[in-house]
Amino acid sequence: MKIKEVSQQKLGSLLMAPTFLLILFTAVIPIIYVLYLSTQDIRGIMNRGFVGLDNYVTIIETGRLQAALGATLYFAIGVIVFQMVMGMIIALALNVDFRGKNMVRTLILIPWAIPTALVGVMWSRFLAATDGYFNATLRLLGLIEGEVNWFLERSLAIGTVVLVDSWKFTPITVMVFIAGLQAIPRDLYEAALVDGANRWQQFWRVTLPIMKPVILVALIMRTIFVFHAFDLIFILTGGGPGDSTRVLSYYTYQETFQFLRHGRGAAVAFILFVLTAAVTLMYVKALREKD
Amino acid sequence: MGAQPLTGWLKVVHRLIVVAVVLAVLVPFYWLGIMSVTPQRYIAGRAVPTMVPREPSMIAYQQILGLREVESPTGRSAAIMYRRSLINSIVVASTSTFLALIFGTAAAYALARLKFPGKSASYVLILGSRLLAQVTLAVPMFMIFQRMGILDTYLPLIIMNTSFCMAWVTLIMNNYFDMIDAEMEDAARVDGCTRTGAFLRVLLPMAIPGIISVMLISFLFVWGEFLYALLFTSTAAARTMPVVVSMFLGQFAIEYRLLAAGLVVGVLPPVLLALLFQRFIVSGLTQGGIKG
Repeated sequence: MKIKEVSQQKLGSLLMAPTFLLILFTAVIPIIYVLYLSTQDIRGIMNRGFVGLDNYVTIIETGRLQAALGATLYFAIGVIVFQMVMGMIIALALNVDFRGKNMVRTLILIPWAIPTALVGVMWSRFLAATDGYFNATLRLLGLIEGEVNWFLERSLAIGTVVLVDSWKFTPITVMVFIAGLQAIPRDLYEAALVDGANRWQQFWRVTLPIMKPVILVALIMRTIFVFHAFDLIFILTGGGPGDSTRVLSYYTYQETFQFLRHGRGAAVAFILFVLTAAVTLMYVKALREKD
Repeated sequence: MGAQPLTGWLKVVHRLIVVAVVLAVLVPFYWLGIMSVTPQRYIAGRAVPTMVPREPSMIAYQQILGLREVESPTGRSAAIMYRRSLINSIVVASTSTFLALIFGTAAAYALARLKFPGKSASYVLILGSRLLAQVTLAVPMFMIFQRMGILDTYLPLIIMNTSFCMAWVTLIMNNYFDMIDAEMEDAARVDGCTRTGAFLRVLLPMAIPGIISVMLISFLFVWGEFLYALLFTSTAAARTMPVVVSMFLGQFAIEYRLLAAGLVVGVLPPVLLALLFQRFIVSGLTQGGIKG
């Protein structure tokens, strides 16, 4: 028995080793390194040495961090509210029997499967003020007049990015919700029906309470990935107009790779890490409560 | 929802929602299709770009795939860069997916069936690593890769993508192995099978659906990965397709139909995979979404 246990330990460690080492190299060490970098005054290729918390102070004093946090918050709220509500509506609609149900369920996978950057390029062309197909179609339908520049004004720009993001990512919420809806036992609805509950009441009293853990997990997962959103912002707005769509991840990119202020960039990156970690802890806690 | 079928106005609302969803997905592809076969003059600068095919041709597809010359020098080098980027994307995506599958499945087996020191710590580390923002890692990794002198090669892309997908593979395959009863392997081993034999002949065949779904999801992820590909490459040598297509935007010398053809060719592999293997992708995603 003893020999068996030792060999099991050896085999386990051996099988885990590549994964463990790779994660050490690409996740653990970089986080420690980024914390170190955030205390250095690095500009261009010059490192002027240790400056303590100066980088953090600078990004706060210039107001850029607060602006980025604000943009992230607006963007996150827009994305999450829209995708949760639309996701639930579409999931409910695709959970009813109708002809072509499976086809539509397959169809909605398509936007999710397309690379986000290509979604951005596509929509950037469609949304062009003059010769874009989106405007042209709306004009033909009589919904708008003249040229509408979807990225001209601050809140409009955020809303537009939220919509494009939702085109790509609502499908994932739909799929997770459909899986949750399918797991609800039918007799619960029959019981509610016997009690005289109408559809509306059934939704609020049966569907929603049972779906709560699924919704919660989808919510937290979406929150984490909204913090990471970069591709669409890079392609559609470049952080503008002004700093209205300069979310934390884009701000990190700008400081580090555009302005070449690696120290400040590292400080923003570390703050992004702390925020992600906080949401992750919420996630783990929510999962524990679910079990 | 509910047990009874839809009636009256609810049915109407339901059909409207379904139609709206179908249109929202398909109309952009219609636009894209038209754009890819129509000469520039019917689209560029027009208040209403043509909504129906005008003088349609497959010229742009032939150009982007190298079967026909592009007249403008910018367009020509764009098409050459695009073809190179497709090869880069295929190499990076298949290598990363392959490595992630091997490493991830091994780790998942260890987590599900073996006792070893540091087991729960490894699990937490893997779960946590998947939730880090790419850009957070890009800042330090850029400097590390720079020092290693491997920027603008496939290596940084393969390393980062393998790492991310491997974590995903480990978590989903671990779920899968947990759901499969270990008794069947024990029985096989009592019958004289080695551990490897029991894994290959008993466990692996039962886990095939899971392997297909993580393979697809990994491939789709790497195929579309943008940030690392943007930051860790600087020439056509290692640039992947999404980066090259994003560079086409706003270049007036590149015809819209060339851009659109590049988009269509770039989205075709993922769209086909999604349509053909819908079941596997949905099961992998919902598991990942629900169980983490």
